[in-house]
Amino acid sequence: MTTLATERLVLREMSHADAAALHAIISLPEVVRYQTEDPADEEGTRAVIERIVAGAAAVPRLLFDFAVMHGAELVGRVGMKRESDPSMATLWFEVAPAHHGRGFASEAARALLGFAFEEVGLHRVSGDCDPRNPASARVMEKLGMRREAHLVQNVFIKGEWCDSLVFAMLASEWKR
Amino acid sequence: MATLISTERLVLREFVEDDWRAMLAIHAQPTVVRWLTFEPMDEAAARAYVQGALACAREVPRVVVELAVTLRSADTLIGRTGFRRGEDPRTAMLWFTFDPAHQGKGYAVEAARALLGYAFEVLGLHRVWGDCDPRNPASARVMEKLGMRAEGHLVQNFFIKGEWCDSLLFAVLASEWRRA
Repeated sequence: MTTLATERLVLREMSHADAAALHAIISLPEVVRYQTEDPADEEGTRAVIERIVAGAAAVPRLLFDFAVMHGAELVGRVGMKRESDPSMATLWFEVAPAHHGRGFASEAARALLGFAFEEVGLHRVSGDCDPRNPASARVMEKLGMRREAHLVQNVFIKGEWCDSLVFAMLASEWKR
Repeated sequence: MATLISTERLVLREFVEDDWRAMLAIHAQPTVVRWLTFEPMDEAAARAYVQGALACAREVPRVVVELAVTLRSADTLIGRTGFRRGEDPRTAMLWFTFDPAHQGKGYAVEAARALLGYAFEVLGLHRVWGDCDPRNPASARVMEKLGMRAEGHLVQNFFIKGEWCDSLLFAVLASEWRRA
């Protein structure tokens, strides 16, 4: 079980008790606008937590999906999934719209990167977002991730072909 | 279904069992596999590769289309080109490998262009992409000549032959293919 503390936030393992708070976030259309998932119904949220809990118990552990806590309030999630080469991972982050603009996503994702490189010992962490989602791109830039690629119409989401911006950082760059 | 594509100078055809000999002659050369994930082939590896290609050709739906590239004049196998459909089967990743003895004649471009035409016009794919190590400019040049767009440069995203390697990404969409 992992807990990561930042100046304002605590990242901790997700549990079934987080269902209502997580649902309040991932059931919002604006939160999942650029993701493959549709807004979650209650059953969908339960399935998400089921996957997160099972992933946390797996050995070796490939999936990390932490609840981002601000005091007693779950304000978002941040996570990563290791790839077929487990020394690499892709990350994601979501913050409740009510808490946007406070730098929570960057703060949480920075803690995750530190964990990925320093504790897990990963070599490379990448992330992607739709170019129409500049807030997400900005978070990855703030983290010091390099913008590596713009893939054109590489993924079909919500009825249309979408582009992807790809960002990445290496362990050697994190330490610098 | 067996795929057969003819170009001006080449025939792209399904592998046959006996192709392992030509595959071995090409892929036993360290320079050929320098940027590939596998080591130079021995006989067992060449036989296994061809068996794998034959198995892929029997799959329904077919995920991997990989064809032997032969000289029209002589049925000499000079290389291979193929693609693998992605998680979204309307997208695919392209590759090509040719015998150095036959390089510099534009065969890779000719073969891969024919395969792209098949992917877009016959199979109706939406997007085909490919990648290569930046230290392998010959491969990048082939993708540029095919009209593929340079989309990015991933840093140390692949561990091959004992070291972290970069990838240059190229891609082309069906809409761009039709305009070309």
